[in-house]
Parts: sequence; C-alpha cells; structure tokens
Amino acid sequence: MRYTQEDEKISHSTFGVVKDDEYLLRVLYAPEHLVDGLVIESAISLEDLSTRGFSLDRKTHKDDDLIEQRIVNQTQKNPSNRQSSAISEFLCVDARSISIAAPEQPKENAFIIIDDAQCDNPAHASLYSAQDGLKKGGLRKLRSLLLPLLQLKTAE
Amino acid sequence: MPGITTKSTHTYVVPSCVSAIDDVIEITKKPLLAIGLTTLMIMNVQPKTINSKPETLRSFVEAAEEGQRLNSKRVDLKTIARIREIGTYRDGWDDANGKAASKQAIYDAENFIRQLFPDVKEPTITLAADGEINFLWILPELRLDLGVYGDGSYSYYGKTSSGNEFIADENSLDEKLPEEILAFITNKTHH
Repeated sequence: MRYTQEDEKISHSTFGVVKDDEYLLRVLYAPEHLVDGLVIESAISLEDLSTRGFSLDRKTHKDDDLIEQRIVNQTQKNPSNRQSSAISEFLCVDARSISIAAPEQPKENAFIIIDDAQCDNPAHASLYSAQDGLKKGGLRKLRSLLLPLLQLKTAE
Repeated sequence: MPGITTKSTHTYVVPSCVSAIDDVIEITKKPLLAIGLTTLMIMNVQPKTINSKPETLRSFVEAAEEGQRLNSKRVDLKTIARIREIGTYRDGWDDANGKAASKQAIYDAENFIRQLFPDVKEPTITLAADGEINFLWILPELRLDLGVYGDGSYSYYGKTSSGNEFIADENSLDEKLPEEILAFITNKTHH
C-alpha cells in the first residue's frame, strides 16, 4: 500500500495533515457518475481505494481557478458523458469514522485520508482503504459505505 | 420481386432482401442504405431466393425511420451496444489517469451479460477509472455492484433492502450468479 499515516505530512506539504473538521471536495459529472441525480459506485474506482488514492480537494485550501480549469479540461475530454458537473462535499471525520468488521473481528476504520499535496495542487488529499489486502468484493463493499457521503446536497 | 442488375461484365440476380432494401431507399431516401445496397452488390451476392415477407420489409422501414439498423429498445442490444461504446474509450479518457477497458474486459463483459439474456433487467453500465466495466442494478429490493476487468473473473457486492449481503471476490466467468441474485436481477422465475 502506498498510503502513509494520517498524522504524517509529505515532505513538500504546504498545508500539513488533513484535520478531522476539514471539508473535502470531489468533482463529479453527469451522466458519468450520476443516475437519477445519485452518485453511483463506478465514481469510485477500486484501484483508487486500494493503491492509487481517491483524489480529493481540501476545501479550506482549494484553488478555485484550478478546480474550474480541471472541470473544463475533463469535460472537453468526454463531453457526452460530462454534460454537467457538480462538487460533492463531506466532512473528513465522517469518512474517517466509517467502520467495517470482518466476520468475528472487531470493527476497524474503513478509510484513511491523508495529505497528498502535489506540485500543481497543494490542496490535494487522498482517500484509501484502511484495510490492507482487500480483494475486489471487499473493496466494492467499502465503496458502498463511502457512497452516501458523496451524494450531492445541491447539484449545479 | 427479385430484379437483375449488372456490374462490369457479370450479371447478378438481386435477391429479394435487396429488393426490400431498394424499396426502403425509395421510401426513406436514406443515403446510408444506398451504401448498404452497394456493399451487398459488391459482395458478390449469390443468386438465391429469399422470401420478402411483409414483416421483414416493415422491420427495414421501421429501423430506417428510426435512423438505426437495430431496435435499440431491446435490452440485450442496448446492453451490448453500451459495452462496445465503452470499448471505444482510450487511456486517459477522463483527462486524468483513466484506463481504457481492455479488449478482454469487453469480451468478458459481453460474455457475462449474454448468459443472462433475455430475462435480465437493464443494468447501468459504466467504465470506472481503473478500467472496470461496471454493471449496476439499482432495484427496489437489491443494489448490486458487479464488474469485470478482463482477467477472466467477475466480482460483486450487493445488499438487499432487508440488509442481506452478497459478496464475491473473483468468480470465474463460467460460474453462474447465485439463484438468490438471479431472482432479483432477472424477470425469470427461479426455484
């Protein structure tokens, strides 16, 4: 697994560790990620959960121009599946407090969220499965647990 | 009725199905069908009698009126068409690190869903950023998230409205879905 501990920051971090009370953002597109206005499972790839990291923007530190430009670029790439965009928002602690239990095992946190600052986006954070070695069925269950947090309160 | 046409020094008897297409062209004036007729002629269609039934002609006309070759209202055709549309996506399709579905994933997805025809309820089919072809059934009593990656297997997670869970990590494509799941996602009665 590539993730680091949630209480660590990466060497080139600008904003430090992701705090529990921070809001996190994710850009979504319709109809690619939404059916009848609800976010669907394939909006969260299993590989993102397990190894690549599910990309998020930290609301407190976000760069609006960067996000807007990303939406323009990504929409141009696949206009038929990206007829409209929306930004999902959730509180970091709400994801960190989701737990999962294997049969006959105590409950454990399902996700970790870390500072994952990038050169061109210092407000970038990543969400991973906290469960090491989960196979695809288990990862599918994880994303079903994350999905309610991604549901849109208001769509653009 | 079959007609006779010539190309170069050869003589062809145009089968009745081509005559039917000819009729459609007359009705719709669709250039695409004219190209289809030309193609049939170039393909050296062998003299053969094919009954030009009224329903056949009607099918041609209806398809032509809808600007398509096949009836897109059929779940099986829609499903296959959607999978093949996904197959046209290339690496980077999401302007990030989005992976294209592999040829094997397209093949596996088609093979998987074909086993469920003609009774399967229509799923939502999407491509995830990691190259997964995802089938999602959002039904009143079950939400089923199932996908293939082109490694010869499929995996799923489903949960019923009453809280029962179904989970599989790497089922072989030869392995059928459990009857309990089929009872939800198909219109067929299972015992």
